[in-house]
Amino acid sequence: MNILEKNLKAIAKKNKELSERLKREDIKAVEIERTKSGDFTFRYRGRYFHSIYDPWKEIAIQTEEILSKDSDWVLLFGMGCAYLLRALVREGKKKIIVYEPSLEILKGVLENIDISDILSEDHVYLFCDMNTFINTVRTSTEGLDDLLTYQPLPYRVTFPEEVKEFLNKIQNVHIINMTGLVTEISSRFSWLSNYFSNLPFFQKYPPVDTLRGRFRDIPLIIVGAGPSLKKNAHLLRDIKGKALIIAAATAYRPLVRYGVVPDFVISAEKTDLPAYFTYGEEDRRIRLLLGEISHPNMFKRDTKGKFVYFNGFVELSIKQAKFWGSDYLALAGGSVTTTALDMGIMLGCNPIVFIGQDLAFGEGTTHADGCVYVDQNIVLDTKKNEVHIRERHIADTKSYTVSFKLLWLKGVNGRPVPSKYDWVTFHKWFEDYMRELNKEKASVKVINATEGGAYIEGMEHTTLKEVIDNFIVSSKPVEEIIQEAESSRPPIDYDGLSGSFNDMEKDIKRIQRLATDILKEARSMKRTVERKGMSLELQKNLARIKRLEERLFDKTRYVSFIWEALSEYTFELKKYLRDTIDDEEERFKKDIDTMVHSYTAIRDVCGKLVPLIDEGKDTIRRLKPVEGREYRKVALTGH
Amino acid sequence: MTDIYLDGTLLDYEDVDRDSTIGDLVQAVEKELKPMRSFVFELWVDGEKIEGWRDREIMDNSIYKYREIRLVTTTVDTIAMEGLNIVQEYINLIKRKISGVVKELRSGNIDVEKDISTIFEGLNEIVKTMNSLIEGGTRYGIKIFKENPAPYYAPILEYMEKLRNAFSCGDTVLMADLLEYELLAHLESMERRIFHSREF
Repeated sequence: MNILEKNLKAIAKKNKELSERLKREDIKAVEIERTKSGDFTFRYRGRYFHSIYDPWKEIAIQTEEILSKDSDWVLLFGMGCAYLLRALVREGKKKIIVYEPSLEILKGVLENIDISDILSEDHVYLFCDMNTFINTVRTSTEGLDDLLTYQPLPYRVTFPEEVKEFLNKIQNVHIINMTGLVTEISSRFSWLSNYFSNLPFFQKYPPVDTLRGRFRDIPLIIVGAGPSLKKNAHLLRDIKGKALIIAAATAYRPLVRYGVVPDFVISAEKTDLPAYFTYGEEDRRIRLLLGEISHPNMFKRDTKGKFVYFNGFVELSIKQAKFWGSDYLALAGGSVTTTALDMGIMLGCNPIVFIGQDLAFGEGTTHADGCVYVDQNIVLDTKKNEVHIRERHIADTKSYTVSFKLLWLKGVNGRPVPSKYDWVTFHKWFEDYMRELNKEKASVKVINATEGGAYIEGMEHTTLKEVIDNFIVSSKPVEEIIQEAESSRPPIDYDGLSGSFNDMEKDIKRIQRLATDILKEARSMKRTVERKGMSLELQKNLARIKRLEERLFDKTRYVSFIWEALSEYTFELKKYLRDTIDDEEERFKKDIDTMVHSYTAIRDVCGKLVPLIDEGKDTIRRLKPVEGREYRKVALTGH
Repeated sequence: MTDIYLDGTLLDYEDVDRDSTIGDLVQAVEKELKPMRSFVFELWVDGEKIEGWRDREIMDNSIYKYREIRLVTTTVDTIAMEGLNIVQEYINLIKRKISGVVKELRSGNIDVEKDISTIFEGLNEIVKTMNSLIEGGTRYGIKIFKENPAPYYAPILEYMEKLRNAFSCGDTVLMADLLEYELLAHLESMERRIFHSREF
């Protein structure tokens, strides 16, 4: 096996696509030269990338600089001859993600230098494609991690635009990860609680996949509430009945202002959204597409109909959707318009057209007129890269100011447009989704007809007028299709649901008991340390705790949604693990305190989940039709 | 009558026809000083130090017009020593600058244009000063340098040219290599070979 083959074998374990690309013969490998020290260097676009005398000497300076900064991950722009990568791994920095912008450089290096050992390190990743690199940064790092980016000077000089993109995208995904962490902490328990409260509605309303494939080749318009909606929303008036229209809940009222009543309004908010509705006859002409974790009051709104959808990011749904007759788990990128896209594919729609999907600030506003945010004053401070938004919620009397870090996306006009973390998250999701969609279902046309805001790679960009002229020509039986689906919901597996809740309850109670036992041991350990200091006696406690923990973690495999309920505590634990305490006894005491804190949290969360599951079991018992009768009446009062 | 001092001592002289010029005076004094390898170094007229006094327009002025003329002398050896000090100072400065620039470049800082200019200016000064010293030494028969420095000029100019090229095409690695491994090594070798004694 030659050097290249050895390296490619190591790369293929983590990045098969890159390994295959590098095998292509049309890639002209850069010429590798020997340095005076007997090492390697190369010239690319007329510049040397490593010293022709002693590359290790220059690498020592760079390594020292990187090591002097505290970081969990090092993100390198450019691998060169892999000296820096090797030096960092040698110094114990083993979580490194490398983006090499040139296949020619990479191939030249891999043909001449054996780096298979470093590439085989568990947390060393190598990419030559920006999107897969960024996705790995997104999935391998966490919001709490410190990320250090490093770009050796020759790379900065040779690839200035790529470096800019590298830094911008890393900043964006890191903010996405940090935001994800905050969302997890603030939402997970509410989602669980809403799920249990919504059980009766899952029986009453059909799952959205009863509509699966029924809109084959019917155009779908997905309406977001971006500021550009004012430019083209009025055009939707003429296409009602010729295409399916799904509006985000935030876009519903603005659309009504333009005289457009969408077919569906989609929402998955954990809180109630009374201000998003008109309370007029329009509400009774729309149907709601509601996520299973939506606030129960959303299921009680007076609308023409409702469909339920289950999300792929909710562990309970993954377990139970099938019992409710649904085998569709919606993909979501943080916004309901992302879910609507995935749903549109499931429905069979083609083309799928976005409007009001700005994902960027408009002129002095964040949303379309008629939205719930009023009296907005937006200040973009480009020097500090911050944005300050003063606004009032329509249901509120007071105004509030919120500030965010200003992020930038490429605009539909080619120039950067100002954005913020949540929009950037959605944007990233759209581009990733489109990349896969274009590979797997190239026949589906997705058009961004938003006349302003961010450019979304992978979608076609045009005006709504063009879309209407080209694709929306004849009337479609939209209403008939929906009615037909409403009357044909699949059966519910009540026994499956009951069994699932019983198993959950058993496991949760077992976890609760184990957590209580661990707490007893931890408290006993604390008393021993306080009385006798660090003693051998503690080893017995530790061994018992270890055994209990193993059993506890084994149990959680079957009720993984417990980690969702515990996300706040796992976050605290991660924060704790980052603290450094030098004194051994102090560290040990702190370990015990943290253990007590964590297992108290586990015990308490189990304590909160058991009654919820009990209630769930009870609801299923009540919902289950009695022999000879199709459904039993259930009072939909929520919980 | 004009008072004329040589290194602070009042001179006795004759200028009967009042037609002697400062040039005549300097020439006569330096004729006396030559065996002692000394020469006039500074000229003060009526309490003011005159810059560029060897220019014709100063030298042609008649002595009688002035109240006081002071001539300050120095030896060729002193001047040579001062010249050597200057060269050594420049070399040290350039070596420090080179080390600084190399470190900056190696650690990724591209903002070194100003320091590169200082290095170029310093190198020019070195060559210029060494040339003057060689000329002066030849005139007075002194061997200022242990070895003739002239053969070292060409490589310096060559490195400067290579540096300019590397800089213009943004090859920062080559710049650092040229500075650290070629120019610096060349300057150190030159120091070792041309100076009689060194205090670096």
